[in-house]
Amino acid sequence: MAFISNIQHLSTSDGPGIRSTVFLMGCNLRCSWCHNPENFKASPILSLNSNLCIGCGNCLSHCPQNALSLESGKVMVDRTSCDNCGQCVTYCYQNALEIKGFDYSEDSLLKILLKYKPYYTCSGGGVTFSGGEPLLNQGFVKNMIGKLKENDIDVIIETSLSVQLDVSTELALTFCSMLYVDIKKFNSSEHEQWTGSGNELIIKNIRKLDCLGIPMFFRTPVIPGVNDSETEIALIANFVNTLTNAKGYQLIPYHPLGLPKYPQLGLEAKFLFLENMDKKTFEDLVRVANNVIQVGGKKR
Amino acid sequence: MKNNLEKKMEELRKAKSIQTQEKLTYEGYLDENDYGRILPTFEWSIIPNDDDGNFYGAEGWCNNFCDLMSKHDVYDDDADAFSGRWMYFMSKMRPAKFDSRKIPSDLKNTLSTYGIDEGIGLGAHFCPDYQMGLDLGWGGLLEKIDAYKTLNAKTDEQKEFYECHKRVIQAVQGWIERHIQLLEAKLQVATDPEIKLNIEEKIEVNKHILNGKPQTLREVLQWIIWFHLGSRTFNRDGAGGQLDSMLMPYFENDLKNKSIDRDLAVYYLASFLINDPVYWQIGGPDAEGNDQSCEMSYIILDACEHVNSALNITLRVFEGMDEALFDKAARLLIKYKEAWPRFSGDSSLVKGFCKLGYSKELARERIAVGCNWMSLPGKEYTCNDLYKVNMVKVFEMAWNDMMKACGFPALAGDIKTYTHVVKGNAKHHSQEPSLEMLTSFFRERLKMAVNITAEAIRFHLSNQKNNMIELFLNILSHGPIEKGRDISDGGAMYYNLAIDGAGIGTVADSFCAVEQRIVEENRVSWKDLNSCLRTSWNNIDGEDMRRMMKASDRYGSSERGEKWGVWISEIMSSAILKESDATLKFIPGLFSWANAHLFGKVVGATPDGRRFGEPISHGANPSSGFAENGTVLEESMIIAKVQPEYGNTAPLQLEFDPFEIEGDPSEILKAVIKAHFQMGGTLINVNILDKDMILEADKNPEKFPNLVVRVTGFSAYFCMLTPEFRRLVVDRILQSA
Repeated sequence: MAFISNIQHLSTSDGPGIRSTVFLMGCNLRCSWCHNPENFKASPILSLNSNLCIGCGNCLSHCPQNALSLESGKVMVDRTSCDNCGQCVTYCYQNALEIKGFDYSEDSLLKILLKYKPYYTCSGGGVTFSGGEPLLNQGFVKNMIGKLKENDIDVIIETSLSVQLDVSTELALTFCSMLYVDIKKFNSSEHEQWTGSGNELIIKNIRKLDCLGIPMFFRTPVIPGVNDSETEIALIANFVNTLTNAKGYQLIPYHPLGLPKYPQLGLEAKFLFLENMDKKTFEDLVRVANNVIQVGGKKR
Repeated sequence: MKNNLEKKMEELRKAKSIQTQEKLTYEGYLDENDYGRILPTFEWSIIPNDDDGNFYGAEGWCNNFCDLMSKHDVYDDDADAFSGRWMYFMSKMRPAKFDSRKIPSDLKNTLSTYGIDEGIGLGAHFCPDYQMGLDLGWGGLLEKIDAYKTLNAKTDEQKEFYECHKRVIQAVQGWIERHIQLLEAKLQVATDPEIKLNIEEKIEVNKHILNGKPQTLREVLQWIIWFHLGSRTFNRDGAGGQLDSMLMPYFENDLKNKSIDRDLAVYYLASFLINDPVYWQIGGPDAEGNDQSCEMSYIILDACEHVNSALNITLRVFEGMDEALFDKAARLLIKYKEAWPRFSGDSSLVKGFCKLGYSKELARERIAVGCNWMSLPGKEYTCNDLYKVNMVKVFEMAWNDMMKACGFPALAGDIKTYTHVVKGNAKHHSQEPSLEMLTSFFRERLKMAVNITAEAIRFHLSNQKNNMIELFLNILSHGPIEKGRDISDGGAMYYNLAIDGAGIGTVADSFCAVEQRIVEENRVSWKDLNSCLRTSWNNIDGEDMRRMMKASDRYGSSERGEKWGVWISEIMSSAILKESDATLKFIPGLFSWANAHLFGKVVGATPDGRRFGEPISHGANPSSGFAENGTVLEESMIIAKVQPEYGNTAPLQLEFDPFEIEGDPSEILKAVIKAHFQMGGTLINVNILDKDMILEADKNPEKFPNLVVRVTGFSAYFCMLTPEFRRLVVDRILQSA
């Protein structure tokens, strides 16, 4: 079983072709800028979008914990009482209340994904596991890789690789067409400062999987004030150059679209940068990365 | 040549833009295809031959057409490779499509009770075989008519039948002759050498095809234009056919004679296509299943680029197709965002048609020649797109049957008309309403609605020759001239008659809401829901209830919705197929054309949260708002699942936003199209979204005079649509964005 916050079909930014991106919940990093905070914990969480709430009050009487109240025409959630059971959600006809996260068995997930197989086949797409950190649930992911490969469906994993990998997981990953690996900072203590964890394990895993011949595509989310320096990007790009099975390196510009999720989930956003990544700064960094990076012996 | 071509096409596009504006100014909104018609430059009115002010029968139609053509203005544009435009919808100028006094009152009343969109008395809606005309020319067709007249015409009626067909051809020939005179007059004053040459060539072409059979590509295209302009004028016929393989031999012959090059062919095709957005097809399998695409397929797409206006080109997609042609078509669709081309799924269509007992070879001849039309060119009478069962109305009646049987007040409407069904289900009396009862009543009502629709078609077939004889399309059909019988009256080789169900999304959503909220969750009682529907949710707590019902599982985004959608499609298909007999076959489809608003206006509130009078769901598509996001694949999947599967279509109306795609949107679009067809889909109409532009155009349509959208199967200038129709398009786009 695994808790999944969302399955995004017609995903085109998580690998080639038409893909279904499966967002597994639970993450052992706490990146300050994270735009999927619903995936911090591997358990359901109630989301309240006050913009959609019309204050009808239907939900109030259906909360077993009495965690809901009406204030100034809007529903409020007492997070200390709410146990995220989700009973209120089925009585919210405005979709203001929503549970993020449902548990799926491997077979129930497979059944859903198989429905989309014609789109994967016709586009050269497949399934991408993202998160959260999907490899926190190695048993589930391993089995899903097996089941999807049995059905001739391509699999990609998006991971920070900040987890201890079982040998069997390493073997399963060899069946993936690609790993998308995030490297956020190269200096471990700075990595810990911004994500809550050092990056030694990440680097170790990358090197090990590289030795196993697993193709990896590296990405860095460029975050203003965190890693938007030429030195940082060059450091990471140079590291990528040392790998045999690196298939590419891509920078992803910061965007603040995840910020509204924090209050909806009753969480406090720590990284309150409200603007999109400055375009020129980003383009300059892309140039730096492209100047440094060599994939397959050729400069990109 | 390329520069000249673009210059000429720019002039033609400009002229068309002005013509469109003139139509909008003087005739107002037009919720239809563009048709390439221009504003009349002369006054004409019909000549009645009946005391009701209408005209009927072969002579009536012939006299009117010949009179109109004798007075019809001529048209020629220096930039155009061809002459001629049409101006009057003769069939629409009749006070009524049929003498309603002749319709039995039972039939009339029942059709009205069920809100059936019936096409009694409407013509066209099937497809001619242009090759027949090209093989014979006007002169050859006249000879053929004479020959069969000698053979068959024994009675005055038969003599009249043949005479009228002849006179129609002669009227067209007269019109062509006057165009030749116009061209000769223009030649006298023309000074520009290029224009002079063009006029000289047009004179030569028209003189040659006045009687003789066309031999060059240019002659062929001009011949088709004359036929089409006449046929459009006669009764708005708009079916085309397989264009590429039909034209290719003439192009090859011209190449052999060194009288053409590719650029010139593109110019001819562009001039041809801007004349009228006829439903032409390219690509697809030949009779043996081999790909029949050719260089002409590419020339046609190149010509479309130069026209880039309302176009109804359909690419037939199948396993053995030319992938490069498919790729080009998808890229053009995304590049120009003008809703062309469309795509048909030949594998499912062929497989479905074969289920009726026809051979694969014949099935491969059957092509998409209209909004949702499928037809064997020249061989089949189909009544495509003419008879639609408003399944939401059927649901409302079933609901009333159940409520009445259980002693509850029914919804608005004439309860008396429901009595016979209620009697037949007397066993339900004194019971509580139930889902089983509702489905049982729905099934029975649907059978009755289909039966009365089939009755209407049978009535149409028995009376149409005396109402509107197909003097044009008979000429290019296999049988009518040979047998001396109108195509509606036994002249055709096959009678495969289309009945479409409309509103599957609204009905499936209503069943979902009832099953979920009443039966499973017990959140509302039958009685309370009935009260809400009776008041269109305007009772106390009605709006809360409406939101609850609306938030139920939906068709398109839930397994429950899929279950009900498939069930509705199956019982509808079963009911339609059962109406077939040895001579007439009825084929099910799911389509609403432009009726989503009209059908909605005659139906009260429905359990899915829809209010009284609001539009029903469009075609086979889910209702607007069926999913929060990511609707493209979900729509594509559900529509593939509810296909009736007998050779007619349940089109996927797709709103595709390329800006949402990372990477190459053409590749993604191609994959969606292929996957939909692999899953059983039959026809795809695509609008490429520019959400901001559409929203701005909705507010200020006059600022976007050339914006073309695909409303359903047809494309239209956005500015010419009524606000209601614009809403239909905008709602779909907002749903998808």
